[in-house]
Amino acid sequence: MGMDKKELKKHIRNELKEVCKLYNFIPKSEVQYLRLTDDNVLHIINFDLGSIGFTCSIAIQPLYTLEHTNVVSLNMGGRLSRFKIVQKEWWSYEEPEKGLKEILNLLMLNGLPWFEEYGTAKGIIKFISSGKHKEYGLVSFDSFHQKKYLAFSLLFTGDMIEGAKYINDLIGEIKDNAADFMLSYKKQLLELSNTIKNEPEKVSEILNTAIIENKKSLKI
Amino acid sequence: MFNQKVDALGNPNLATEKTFLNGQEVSYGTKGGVRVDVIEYNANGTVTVYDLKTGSATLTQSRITQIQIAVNPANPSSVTVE
Repeated sequence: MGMDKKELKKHIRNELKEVCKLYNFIPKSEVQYLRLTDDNVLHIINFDLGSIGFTCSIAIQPLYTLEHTNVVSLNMGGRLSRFKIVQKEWWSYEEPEKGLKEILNLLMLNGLPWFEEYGTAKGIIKFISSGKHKEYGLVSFDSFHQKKYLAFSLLFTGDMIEGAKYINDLIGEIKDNAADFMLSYKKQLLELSNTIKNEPEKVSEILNTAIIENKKSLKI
Repeated sequence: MFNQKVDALGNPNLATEKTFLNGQEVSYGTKGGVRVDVIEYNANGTVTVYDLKTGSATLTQSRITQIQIAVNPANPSSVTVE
């Protein structure tokens, strides 16, 4: 019989104390640790206690994007067991200390350097436009999120022409059979596209409002 | 368990026990999130979700729609549920 989940959560919290202290992450819960950069990009470390074991994901989330659903999103990222490497996704509850040690090693080896290199608006542009997500094996980072993060990062760094191009590509990702809330989101993006074209000076205000709303919703 | 067998395959395009909400991959336990048993990321950008049932339980249309909207609400038909 391995460690129970409650006990494991306490163990994770203890093990992450040093990471939080050294790298400025803040515990959002016992299983989620967040760090916000100066340009409003969120770095996420998220543990998942599943039915067959536990695992840990890392993710990057820009907060200057218009969102239809305000949540901490793991889309731009992956489980450390499948991040630049391929091994079993889950670590066993039978050997929690061993699993946590391996997770922390992978965090140091692959996770934190990735945050440093790509966890900014410019870094996100570089990561997506150079197709690095394939090299890192991020199979779940779908084209919708790639285009969304690329478009808004371009706009945030002041590149209206390229940003507008990717906003239009993003609009194209939302099909006629989309859920109603996505069709509303499509309208919002179409309005943004018009603003970029006709009143580009208003774009930074829109992105700043998005930052405030996202932070408020995520309580950070 | 089935998930252990999938995990043992070491196939990077297969993932087990992920949670989705309105197209976002989210932390387990997120309010309104849908936990899928196995998800396969296909090379053409579509995904296949394997929703495991025990005994005589069957996959209903409402469950299929729920999973499709949770995983990809922008293009629900790109998500096959089996």
